[in-house]
Amino acid sequence: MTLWLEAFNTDFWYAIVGAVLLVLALGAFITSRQLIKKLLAFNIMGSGVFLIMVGLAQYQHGPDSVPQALVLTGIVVAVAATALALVLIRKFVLKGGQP
Amino acid sequence: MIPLLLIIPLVFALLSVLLPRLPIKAIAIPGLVLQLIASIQLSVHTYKHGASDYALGSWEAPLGIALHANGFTVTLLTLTAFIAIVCAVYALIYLKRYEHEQRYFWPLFWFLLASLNGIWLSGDLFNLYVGLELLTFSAVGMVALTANKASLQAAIRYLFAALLGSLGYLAGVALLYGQYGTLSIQEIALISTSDAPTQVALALMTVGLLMKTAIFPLHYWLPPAHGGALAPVSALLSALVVKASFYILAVLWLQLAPDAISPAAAQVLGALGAGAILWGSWCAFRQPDIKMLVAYSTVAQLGYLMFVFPLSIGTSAAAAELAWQGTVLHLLAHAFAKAAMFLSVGTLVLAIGHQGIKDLAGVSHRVPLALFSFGLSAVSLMGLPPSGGFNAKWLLLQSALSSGQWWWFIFILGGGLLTAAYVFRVFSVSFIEEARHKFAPTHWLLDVSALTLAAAAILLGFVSQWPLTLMELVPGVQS
Amino acid sequence: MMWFDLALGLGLIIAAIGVFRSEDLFRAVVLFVTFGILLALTWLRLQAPDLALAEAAIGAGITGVLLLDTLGVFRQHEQDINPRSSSQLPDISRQWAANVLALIACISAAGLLAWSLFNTLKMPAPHHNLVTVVEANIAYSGVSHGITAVLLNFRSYDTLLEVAVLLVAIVIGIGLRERVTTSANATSDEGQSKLSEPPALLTSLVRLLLPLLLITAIFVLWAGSTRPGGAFQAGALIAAAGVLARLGQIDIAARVTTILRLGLTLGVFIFLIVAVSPMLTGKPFLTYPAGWEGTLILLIEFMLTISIGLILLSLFIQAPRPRIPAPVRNAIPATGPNAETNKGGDQ
Repeated sequence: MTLWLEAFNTDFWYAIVGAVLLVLALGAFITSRQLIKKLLAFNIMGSGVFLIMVGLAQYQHGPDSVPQALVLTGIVVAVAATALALVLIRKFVLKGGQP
Repeated sequence: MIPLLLIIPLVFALLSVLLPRLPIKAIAIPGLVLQLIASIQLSVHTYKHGASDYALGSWEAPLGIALHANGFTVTLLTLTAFIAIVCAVYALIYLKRYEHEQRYFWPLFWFLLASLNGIWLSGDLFNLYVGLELLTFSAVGMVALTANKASLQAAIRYLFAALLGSLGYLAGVALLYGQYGTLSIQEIALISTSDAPTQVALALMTVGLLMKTAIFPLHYWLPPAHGGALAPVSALLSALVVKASFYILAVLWLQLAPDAISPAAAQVLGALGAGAILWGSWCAFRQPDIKMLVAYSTVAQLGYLMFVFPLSIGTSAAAAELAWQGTVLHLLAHAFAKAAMFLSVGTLVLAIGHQGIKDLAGVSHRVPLALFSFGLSAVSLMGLPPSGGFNAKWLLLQSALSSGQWWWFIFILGGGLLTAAYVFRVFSVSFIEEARHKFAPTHWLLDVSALTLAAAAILLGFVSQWPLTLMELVPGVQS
Repeated sequence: MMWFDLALGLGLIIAAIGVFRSEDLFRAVVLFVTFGILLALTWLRLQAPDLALAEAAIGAGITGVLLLDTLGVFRQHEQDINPRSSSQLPDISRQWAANVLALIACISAAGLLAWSLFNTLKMPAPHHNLVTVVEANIAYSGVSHGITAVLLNFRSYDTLLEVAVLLVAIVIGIGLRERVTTSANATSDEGQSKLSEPPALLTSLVRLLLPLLLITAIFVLWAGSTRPGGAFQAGALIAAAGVLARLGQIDIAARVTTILRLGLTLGVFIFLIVAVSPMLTGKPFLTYPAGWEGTLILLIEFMLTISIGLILLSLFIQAPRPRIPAPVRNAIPATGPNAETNKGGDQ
């Protein structure tokens, strides 16, 4: 326990938050039936991964621009994925599918 | 020479987006020939001088991104270029009836090739993630091309499964970067240990990549996507796209952190492979629709790829080498045979106008060449001699025997019989004399392209030494 | 660690749970945008102002607009066709299987991550460290801001592929959109439909905000070489300006013209040209000629900003919309809570 408290810092805390978000979003992704809800879960899961990526690396060796740059790329890829999914879902719904 | 394989597809992709009214179809073929020449040149170079690295932007590996060309990657590059060129010729004719779709097929096709080449060459964990996303997006777009309700649903399912898989992979990359402070695969391979973060990272990445490779029981998205797409798209997806995530999985397990992998974990992957063979074959056997039959056949055949893990981890060097060779041959043979099968089925469906297996009555007389290509590719899938599929299974069987894992022996052999069972369903109908439908004439180039690929699957049985010689140039794999 | 961090982290988790648990999609999306804003704050706490900017503009902003617009289209669609009988019968056994599966997946993922993080605490820091490598090389990168150096010089190949990813998304978007326009009859007003007359206040507000947003975008782009900012954040601002302009009935990029295609591909095109040209002198792909790094990075970033802005905007404008018969169209803005969500849509 003392080990935990000693080593704990802001970066590590957010890595844990990221892990929790990842796990919760995974559950929501699998259980939700609505496509939009799945998409929201995917986005939050992604944010969880990003928090782990930056939090863990910075816990190990302080502010690091490499994981930050990777996450910036990740955010853009995520918005592209969201937009693509929305285009497909919208088209699907307009063709009579269930959202 | 290495970056040409990225530049060519990217330039052509841009041209096809920018000038959709230009004869993109006509310029596609020279572009593909260029790409094929570049990959063959790189193969020859690798054969003569061994594996080579390329520091992008002149920045060496831990800071920059390194491309890495070894025997395995040049084999895959050449395979990609070859299958792409044949599928493109097929698509030129096939897509004529899809006026709207073909304007968007070509840009996506080129982006797909760029991402595949990028993945084969990349030596960087995060860059592989971006490559995988580019691959997913272009593949999903190709599935959605026809924009009817079914294909959109298949595309959405495919996209969601692939995105989930990517996040699993990315979570692993995050843990590995936290652990090793670098993203270069070669660097991590030098210092990797078997501690908890490494094992967890590998577990997350493995699940994500299994999802993307559609390994049983995570295959649910594949049949509607591959079975519902246009024929040349199905061929590209089954032959190449699912292999990309398998390739990354193999690199992770056999190259990046072999110490962190336990033989028990390898047995689990083998068991999934066995499950894929049984379940995929059973489903293929029950499909009333020919395209879905071929798609489920892909689910089954991908199972064989999983055997490389139990056969090469924790076994003798000789068994491991046989397993590795067999797997590479299987990957190549399946790529040729499955592409040929989807293309020939596409021609059959075009001729009949229906997709049901029952509707195939009479094709042996009226569309003999397409059925012949289907048969040749089936020979390789079943693993009958002489074919690439036979040699692949032979090597895997030998590996299973020499490592004393007789249980895989049963599945490898049994899988061939199961394949025969579902393939003969098609033949039993096609030789019925009476046709149920009128036959539309099809273009001869469609037959030629399917036949070329099917012949390649058979010929691979005679020239198996070529890829195997190149494989000896893979660092860390040769024993 | 400060109480603030504890609260912020818990706030993120609570917002996320709120998103997952809310039955109403509109509520879920609003909570999701809240989550994005909290996340932007979190990035500030993690000393990542670039990410805070990107999260606010892209993660919460653009994603939120796209989602809300989609919900608007769905409601519109539900009104177009006769109100759907709630045919969405929950398949009980299927749902049960999904719940069990989710439980197993969650427990294993949680166990794995907890084990990994716990072990990280016990371990010494890795001997490799890219922080020092970046610091040692940043002087040769042409920019002084670390993230920009990584994105546009050290790992520019990632960025090239990333913009290609964006491009693929919009190519698919245009592909799915145009098909409707061509297959629909001449009576279809899709793609050309004008927005209903916006309130005068909105129009004047847009006129005011538009130049402000564009100037901010240019500043963010310019700032990127020395401090937080860069092409992606600036591109998102341009897209936001475009969305606003659209609301204020300034019609842009509604049709796919050659000029639009040029704009969409411009970023990758210039990037590729700059990346290939050193190969003529025998240097590796993506190398900047010595002394020109800063200028060329700025050029690429400028072009990327235009393309990214246009792509994000087009993903909004080109997204599929229902064809609306005239009487229904007039009826929509009046319908209570829908009015909010419909703002972004073609009405």
